[in-house]
Amino acid sequence: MPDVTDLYHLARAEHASAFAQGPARDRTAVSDAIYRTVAWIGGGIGVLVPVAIVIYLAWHGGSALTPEFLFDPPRGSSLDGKGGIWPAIKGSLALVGLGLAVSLSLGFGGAIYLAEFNRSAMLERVSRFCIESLAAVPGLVYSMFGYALLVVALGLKISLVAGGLTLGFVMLPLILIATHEALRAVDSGVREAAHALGVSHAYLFARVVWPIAWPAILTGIVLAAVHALGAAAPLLYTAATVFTKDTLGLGKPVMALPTHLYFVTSEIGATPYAFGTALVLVLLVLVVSTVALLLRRRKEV
Amino acid sequence: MYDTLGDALLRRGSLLALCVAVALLALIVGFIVSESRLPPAPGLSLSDFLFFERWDPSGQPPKYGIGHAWVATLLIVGLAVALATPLALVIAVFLSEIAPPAVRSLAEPMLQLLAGIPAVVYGFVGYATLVPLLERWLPTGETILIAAVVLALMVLPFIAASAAEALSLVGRDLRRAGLSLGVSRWYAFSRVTLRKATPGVLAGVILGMGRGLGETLAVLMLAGNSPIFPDGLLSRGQPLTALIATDLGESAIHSERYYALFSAGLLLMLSVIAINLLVLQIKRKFIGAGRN
Repeated sequence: MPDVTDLYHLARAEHASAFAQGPARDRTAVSDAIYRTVAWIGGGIGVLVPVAIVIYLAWHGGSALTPEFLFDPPRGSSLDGKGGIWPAIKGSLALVGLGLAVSLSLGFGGAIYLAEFNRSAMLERVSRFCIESLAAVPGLVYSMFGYALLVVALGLKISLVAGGLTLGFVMLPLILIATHEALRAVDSGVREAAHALGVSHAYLFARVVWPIAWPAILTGIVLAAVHALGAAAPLLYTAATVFTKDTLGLGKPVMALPTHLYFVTSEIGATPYAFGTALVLVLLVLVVSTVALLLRRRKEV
Repeated sequence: MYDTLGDALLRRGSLLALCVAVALLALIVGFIVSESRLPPAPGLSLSDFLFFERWDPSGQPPKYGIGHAWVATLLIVGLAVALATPLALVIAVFLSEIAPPAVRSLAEPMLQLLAGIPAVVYGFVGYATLVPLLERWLPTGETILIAAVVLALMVLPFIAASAAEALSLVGRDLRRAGLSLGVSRWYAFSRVTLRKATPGVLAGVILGMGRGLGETLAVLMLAGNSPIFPDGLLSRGQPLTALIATDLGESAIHSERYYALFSAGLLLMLSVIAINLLVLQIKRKFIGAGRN
């Protein structure tokens, strides 16, 4: 890091005009005012865009939100914008729930090993690279993988179980990373104190480390679940169907909110039914992520 | 070594879970590789598949070329990142040096919410607002341009968060030292802070590109989804992800078309992993340099 004096002499020699007095100082004040204004405008845009999207959807879709819309299946034999979206809500919750079962067990396990037992810096680097690459792999590639492995090779067909597993794979790296970071952030003094009392590693972990890390882990889980809830691409070729009146079943294709919105938009365009679907999806996502952010804030205080 | 059965179980079980998680990456890469053929059909050269041939799988003879999809992907992602980066930098400056703490603690979660809105909702909102707007002047509103504008909004929070982190990391001290010399804020930012923070900002931009490359639903709904070489920003196009999402359902398993789509998926996945590696490298170097 350059010394302040060096910086001063360097700047002074190279850019003498910037240090001028009198009118030049006023120019600096004007420039600062513009700088601040532009920054406030940019920040304002960043804050207003999500608000504007929600208000826009609420404006056009709010009137569609009736109890029948939420709790009835679509009517007719194809998507014609009548009836409700209950099968899609139910399907989304089932898919995310199934995915959580997969991703929590593997994600917790992997993170616990890395944070609590692993002593090899090499193993940590390699695993973190693999996990972070997994987190970067696009949802569509997960869909292709789920299609080739689960749907075709393992013969699960396009079904709730294939889609749930695929969503589990999507969430796994997110949950593993969040858990690993949370466990790593636990003060090592706490561990040492417990060790000094002679408790077993498992006891120390279950009674001391895990409770401290839990709020951050929970936030990570909720954010991963929200991501999965809104993800249409992983479901396209693993679970999603355009229209079903059938009950939920592990081996049967399901409707899901994000794919439903896509299918509805491509079949009948931006109708009130589509606006209502989008609004329900966004509200679910926003409410759940707000809860997650509040959880995190409470932990920080 | 082990005090109790619990210790042994926790250790073995968690190691197993880690192995499965890491193996998943190998499994995904392996499966996509095993389902792809380069080139996908006999008599088709690799360069024709990648660059020159048209995409017409139901023609006689069928043609498998993904050049049009690459061009559309690069146009959309390039334009989206170019549009998002300046605004992201302004937001990053706002968050890291202008915003009072109270405003900052409101603005940061809002950015996270922006990042959390599902892609399909962005696609839908773009479809309901920007597409009809453009159709006042053009025969079709579903264009490369609209897809890029919406994608810019989607990658904005990622670039802004990365850039804000990099700018804060460079730190108040250096900026204040500059300001105390009486230079303008812009001067201190452009000559001192930004220069120090460039690698971090760059990492954010590249991260945004990675997100954009793999983004499916929004570009599928907005870019027009026609398998033609786009001849400009106001032309329809079909990015790689849209091509795969549209055609996979119509291709017979282990047909030439299926191999062609998985080869496209393989290229997509490898470029995203390469981008991820690049970001990690930049970050490691940058954070390493920052500590000295």
